[in-house]
Amino acid sequence: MAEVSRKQAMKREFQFNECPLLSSEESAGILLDYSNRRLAPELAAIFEQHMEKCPACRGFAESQRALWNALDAFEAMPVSQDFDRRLWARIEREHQGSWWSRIWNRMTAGGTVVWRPAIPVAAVLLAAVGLWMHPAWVSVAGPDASVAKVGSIEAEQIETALEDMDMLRQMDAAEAVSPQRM
Amino acid sequence: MSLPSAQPSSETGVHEDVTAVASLERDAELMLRVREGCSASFRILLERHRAPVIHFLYRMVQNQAIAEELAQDVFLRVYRSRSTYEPTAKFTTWLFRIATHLALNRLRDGKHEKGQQSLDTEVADGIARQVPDKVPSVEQRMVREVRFEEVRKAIEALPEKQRAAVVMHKYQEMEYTQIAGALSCSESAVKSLLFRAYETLRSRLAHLA
Repeated sequence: MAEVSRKQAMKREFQFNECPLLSSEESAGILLDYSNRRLAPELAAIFEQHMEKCPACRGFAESQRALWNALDAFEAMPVSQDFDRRLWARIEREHQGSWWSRIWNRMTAGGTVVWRPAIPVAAVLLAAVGLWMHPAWVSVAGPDASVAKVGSIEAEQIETALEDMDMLRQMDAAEAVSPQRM
Repeated sequence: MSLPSAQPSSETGVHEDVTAVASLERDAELMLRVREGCSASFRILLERHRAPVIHFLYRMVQNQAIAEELAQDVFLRVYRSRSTYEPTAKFTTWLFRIATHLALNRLRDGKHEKGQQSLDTEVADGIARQVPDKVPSVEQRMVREVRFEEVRKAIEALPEKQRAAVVMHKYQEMEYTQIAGALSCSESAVKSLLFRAYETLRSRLAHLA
């Protein structure tokens, strides 16, 4: 379908400086692909027919080809001979590293932080800290005090649990919209 | 997963593994084998993509030492992700997405040092820029050096995303879909980025054509 519309666009005749191929995004691909010799031969032939009548596109193609050749001057450097050795040394160090650094590294692998595995860990830690700070929550108290405390704790717990569920739902939705990995 | 040594020749059995997995053409298949614990597959992936990744990063940050440091981070992240890897997209797209992410972060942090290496300057570990085998004359070398500097500066002056798109398109010969994947944008956005970037470059480098 896209190829058909490309063909139609190229078969039309345009006046100098009026060629829409020089302004739309789709045609930008055609012009660049042709100039950089990446356009399929059939499409290239059609574009060449179009260029015979379109000085704007002809001028663009010529200057883009000249630029393409000029860019070759930016040569790369050869890779250090000890690149692999250094990489394996880092991997080795990582294997010998602490358990928490390994967890952090796995969470941050791929360029983004993956929070999902941290949620249950954080929940357990929070619960432990809460129990440590408020030992009365688990101790046996008098009936009146117990009822009052349990009531407020339950309300807090339900509120926290609802907030956690909300947060997880939002994260799932966010992940569904933008996949973690391409 | 057993760790391979830095010297492949000294490692018993690695060569057999390498021969066995060398026939695998698709990177994703190699990565799946890495997930299963095959270090030889990771070695092949490294061999296959080391230079393209470093060259991409060099043209992005314009400093060889920093480019290699970032490339190490890229491959380390790939290695760390092995257990959770799923071949949902082309391996190179994923690889260059990581590389682009690190390069853009580096540029935004402003930590990169501008490449000031001339043609005959050697980097720390004694390597020089790739030049043809035929020894050029002094004049040819000077012309090449001037052209190199002008193109380098013109690319450096591009906005970060345009620079990444041009480097991937021109030097890595990546398809629009792959560039879009690496830059986390649409294919038409990539075409638009490239069109604007080449327009700028054509005007800045018109005298070189």
